[in-house]
Amino acid sequence: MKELTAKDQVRLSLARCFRLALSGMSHRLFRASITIAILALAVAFLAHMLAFSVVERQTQRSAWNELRESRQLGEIISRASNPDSPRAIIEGLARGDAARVHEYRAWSGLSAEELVQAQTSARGLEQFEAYLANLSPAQRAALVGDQTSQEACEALLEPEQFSHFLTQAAGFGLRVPFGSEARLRAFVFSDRPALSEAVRAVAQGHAAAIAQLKARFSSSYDAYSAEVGGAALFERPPNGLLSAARDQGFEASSWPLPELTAFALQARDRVRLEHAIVNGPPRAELARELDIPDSEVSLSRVLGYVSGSAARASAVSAILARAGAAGLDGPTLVALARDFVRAERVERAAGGELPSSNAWFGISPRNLWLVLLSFLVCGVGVANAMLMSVGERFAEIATMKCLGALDGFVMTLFLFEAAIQGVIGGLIGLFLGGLLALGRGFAEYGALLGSAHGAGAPLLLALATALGLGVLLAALSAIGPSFVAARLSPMEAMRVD
Amino acid sequence: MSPENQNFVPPAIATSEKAVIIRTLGLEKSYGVGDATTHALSGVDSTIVRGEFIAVMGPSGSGKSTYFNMIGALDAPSKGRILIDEVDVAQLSAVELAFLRCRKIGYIFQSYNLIRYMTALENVTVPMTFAGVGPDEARRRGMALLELVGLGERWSHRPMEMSGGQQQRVAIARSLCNAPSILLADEPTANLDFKTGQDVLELLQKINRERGVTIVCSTHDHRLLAVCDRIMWIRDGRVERVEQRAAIAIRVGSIREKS
Repeated sequence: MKELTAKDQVRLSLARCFRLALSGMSHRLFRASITIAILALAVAFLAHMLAFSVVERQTQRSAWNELRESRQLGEIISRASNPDSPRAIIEGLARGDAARVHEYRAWSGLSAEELVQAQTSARGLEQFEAYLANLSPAQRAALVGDQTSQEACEALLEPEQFSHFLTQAAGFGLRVPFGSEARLRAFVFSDRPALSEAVRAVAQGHAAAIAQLKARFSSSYDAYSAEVGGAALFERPPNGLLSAARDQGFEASSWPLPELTAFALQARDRVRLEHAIVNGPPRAELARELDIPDSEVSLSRVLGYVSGSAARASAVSAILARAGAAGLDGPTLVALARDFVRAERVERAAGGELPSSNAWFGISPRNLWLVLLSFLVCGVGVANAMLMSVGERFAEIATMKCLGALDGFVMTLFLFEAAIQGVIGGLIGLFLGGLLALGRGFAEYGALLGSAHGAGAPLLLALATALGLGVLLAALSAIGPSFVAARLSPMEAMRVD
Repeated sequence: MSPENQNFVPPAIATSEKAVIIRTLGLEKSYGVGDATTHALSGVDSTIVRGEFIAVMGPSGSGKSTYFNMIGALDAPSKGRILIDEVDVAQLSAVELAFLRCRKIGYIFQSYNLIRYMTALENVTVPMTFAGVGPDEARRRGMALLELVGLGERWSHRPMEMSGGQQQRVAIARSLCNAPSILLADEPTANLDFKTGQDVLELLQKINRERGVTIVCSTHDHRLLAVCDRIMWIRDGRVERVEQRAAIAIRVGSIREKS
């Protein structure tokens, strides 16, 4: 007689739920489009934040690298004609860069042990300087007076000054430099004098090596050498330059000759132009051409004027040629201007401190708060939209439950609906946000943006994160309303309104 | 079953040879607490047998709707029990209740309750989807049911494009799609004009006769008296009387004569 066997209701597959959610949504496009718009806004904001900071970081990083490379080129050129300063030698020793140490050893004729000792002493000196730098002004005045750290080291050689130093330090309750008096004594009386000797030997050897190079390639050290720091040597690198430099103890095998040549030529043109502008008679003529007062004519103004215009470049070059400044034709000026503008951009981009790489997509904490807040607001908006969607479908949901829908099915239906809206809104937001970030990046960094190598993968990751968070936001905000819908009593279907 | 109920034999069963499909025992339902408590039902004992067409009549506020929600397994009673096919509804889990609503009971609502963005056919196939019937089979059965209610041509129309009578017939097709044992119709003709109401009643009668589906129909509509087997009168949360149609027809006649 018992025909009714109490069995479990069938659970629908997710694919089935998905299709039902999709068909339900397609019939309520207006409500859905509002939710989608809210989500698109949230995701656009996030995507823009993430994408822009990724692009910015990469651009800054590549600008920083570019700047460092050009500094290295300048350093090589400069060191081929001017001996390192004692400060530079001490820093080189303390840093312990292998190539540098190798050069110093060749120039100074010190043994390997002596060089290692010199390196230790150099680090000791930096430690001592750091010790002095960390003192308060009053402490420093009492310990070493107004002497520089260098002078202070010299002064400590006198026994009474040494004991005065120790007494004062003890009076302030400071620890002794190097931890103990014996080690301080060793540093002051033996390490530092030995270091000075070593530095002097290195500087002398370096000067001798430069003299040898000059003697051999005298024709290449021309009139400009003084200003451009030996750049002339690299304009047309003479045969045997590298091997001769190597023979003189330079670590020349790592010199990138083509880059050095380009750098040297550019430096030469710039110096020539600067000479012509600052000293030469074309100043007044240039002022007329640029339509600015005489006093404002400067390298950057001229190059800014020339930038990107062949006609202006040839006009300026004609003025310069009449004044006798040779070798500055139109194309050269245009190239110079381009490099100048780029170098300015690079310098500005690299100007800020390098963003830390472990921050979340390089987003500053303030912006992170903004993002969180905007997500919260959008979450409330989506939850409200979903709640209204549930509210106006009370009869429909209750009817479905009368027809055998499970709570889980109703919940899944609404979550799916929210997630679909999240994906659609997210994609729209991604597009808008990406576009915005690109536009802003271009406005800020111009052509430099193209040099942001390696931004591809982090950028994709940033955009994917924005999309994922958008969908998650939609689903999370829909949990509450879905729960309301799922718990709705099927009795509601009987209500007549 | 509790011991006191074990020997309890409802009078209807004692007199009827037929199998009981719905039985309520001392059904009570109250809303609110304390002084504000209202008793919608106060002890309803009723028996509905398989295959009959029973009309539930009563004035507004008599507890008719509450009784309907109870026997439709849509609401739980405060006291008493509901047995559908001798199974105590209170013992069923939520998942089993959904199964029951899906396969054993068909609901017909006063305001049709079609899902307004779905076509007639889609509306009819929804419960089959919940029952796990494949889409092709569901479409085939849905079309057959729409033919049965005379709407085979209009399967692609949405509720907005149909008259009230047509919508109610779609709702009837929907209620039949999982071959239920019981049809619960809550004032099915209340929103319909005279002619279409008549059509719907005839359709229900046809379903009752041809398919042997038990139909419980709440109504104010006196025409229902012509098609039903029995009438249950509810007043003030109690069963006032249960009468066979044969007895009623004479009384109605007598009323007409008097007025």
